[in-house]
Amino acid sequence: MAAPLVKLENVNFYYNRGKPSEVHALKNINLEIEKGGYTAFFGPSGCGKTTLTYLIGGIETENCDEGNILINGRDLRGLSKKELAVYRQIGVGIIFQQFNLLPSLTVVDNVALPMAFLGVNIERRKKEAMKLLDRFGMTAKADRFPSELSGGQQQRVSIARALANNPPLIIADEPLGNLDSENANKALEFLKELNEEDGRTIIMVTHESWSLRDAKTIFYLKDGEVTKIEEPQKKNIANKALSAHLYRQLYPEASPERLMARSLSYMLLRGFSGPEIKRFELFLAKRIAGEIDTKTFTEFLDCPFKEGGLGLWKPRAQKIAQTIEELIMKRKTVEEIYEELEKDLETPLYEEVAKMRAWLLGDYKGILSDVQLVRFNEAVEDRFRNIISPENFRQVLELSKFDFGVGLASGTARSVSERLETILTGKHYEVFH
Amino acid sequence: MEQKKKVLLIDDNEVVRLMFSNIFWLHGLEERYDLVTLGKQEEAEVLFSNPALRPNIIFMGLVMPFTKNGKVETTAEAGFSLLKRIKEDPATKEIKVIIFSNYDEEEYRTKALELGAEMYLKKDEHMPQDLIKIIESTNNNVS
Repeated sequence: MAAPLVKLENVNFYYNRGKPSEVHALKNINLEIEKGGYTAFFGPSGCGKTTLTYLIGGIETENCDEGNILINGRDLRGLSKKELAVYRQIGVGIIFQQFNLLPSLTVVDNVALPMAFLGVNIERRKKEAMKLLDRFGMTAKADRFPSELSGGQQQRVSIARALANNPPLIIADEPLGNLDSENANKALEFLKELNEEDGRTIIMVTHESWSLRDAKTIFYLKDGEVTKIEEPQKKNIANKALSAHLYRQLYPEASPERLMARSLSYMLLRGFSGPEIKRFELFLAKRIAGEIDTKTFTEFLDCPFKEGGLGLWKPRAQKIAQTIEELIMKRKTVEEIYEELEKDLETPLYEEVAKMRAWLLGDYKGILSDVQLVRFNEAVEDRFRNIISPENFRQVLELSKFDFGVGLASGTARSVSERLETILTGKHYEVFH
Repeated sequence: MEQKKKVLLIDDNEVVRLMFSNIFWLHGLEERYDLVTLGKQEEAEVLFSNPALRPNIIFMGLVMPFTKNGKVETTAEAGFSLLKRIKEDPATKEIKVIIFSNYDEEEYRTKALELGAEMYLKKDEHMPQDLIKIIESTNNNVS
């Protein structure tokens, strides 16, 4: 018999292992997902479901503490960085809650970008991207920018992009979180179609029980453990009363306020990686329970990730801390905060930047320090958002570390920036002297 | 059980080799094929001389580094000389050779097909799903 597409054996994952703030985020996870399956990881915020999916997606794999993550029988933990980068390009397509489209690229270029990483030429890329857009009824918007599209339309573009390199596995991370009910239903229909018609394996991460309606296997997660596996016979899960029931089952001790406050972390940190959200949730829960004070909470937000914090940009850390204070002091309700966050569409393009960096520095022989990597990422993200010009990007790469640049050699800065512009636009780009 | 078919990729670009091995792994082709990827054509000799290792299908670039008169050169002669060698040797002439090249010169294409290549593919025109189809259809023609 063929090996399952995904098999996890005794997987354990910790944050801050060996430190007083250690969190055992995934506890001895064992699970199998058959090829062609439609699986859901269901549980409240902070249960470990996103961390789990990101391990399968090759994102946090190198930091996994114990166990095996087998994809088609091969352990991701044994792959080199380059191999993992290729796996992330062609093995798995991720659909994010916040869509994570690059704002400086048109819709068609967003969908075509993953193909560029494989060296496919611009004509073929566009042709393939148009086919995908057509499948999701988005051809007419091909030359628009993401900001000109509604949430539902952006979600369809992000589904098309996830399919760009024809991955056998699709991960949908809270794909319905920012959609109205009509668009959420459409998104579910698309996922079902990808599963039933294309034969793709789907993993959906969700905390909303009504979105489980098409899943063939449901893994219930709580506090980093799989508490129950269910293979629903009838597709009648989609009603609210049952949703409340499922939540009670997963979190019998939690108050409704606390559950709601926990789900806030997704909104506040949208676009961040699983580990970052998980860590944030933990500290948010502590702050809400009064176990830590405002000062400690703000320090945590501000402190670098490596030192156990979240490494947020200071103004952002202060804003988030303030939002939480307002909630705790009951000056604002969760609903009001949600409404404010809906208007703020700025999301960090974490995964997109990581993929681009892996590609841009694929041949780079030198070693970059943590500070250089952070600055490199910031420069790529600013370029994605069109905040800086191609020339600014090159300058940032070349400026010395003491001048807040990355400190690359002039020739490297030049070739990296040429590579970036060429892959973004499909046109040959040369730095002027 | 039917014996697995052997596929060999010769390409000096590591990313192309990784892409091939990932396609075989992730799309389940490993159940039916044994893939070997090599960065240098000289390394392929041992596979040709041993019938148990000899590939059924080869994907290879044209312009690669190769040793000529004791000196390393990087020209299309690398691919052409290898193709010629495969097709002239009765032991290897049944191997299906697919040229997988960055170059699109008509002259190269014509010459490769004349020398007995099955197909001439330009690298940047092919998505992973195209390669899977090509491998499967070529395999159907392997005797």
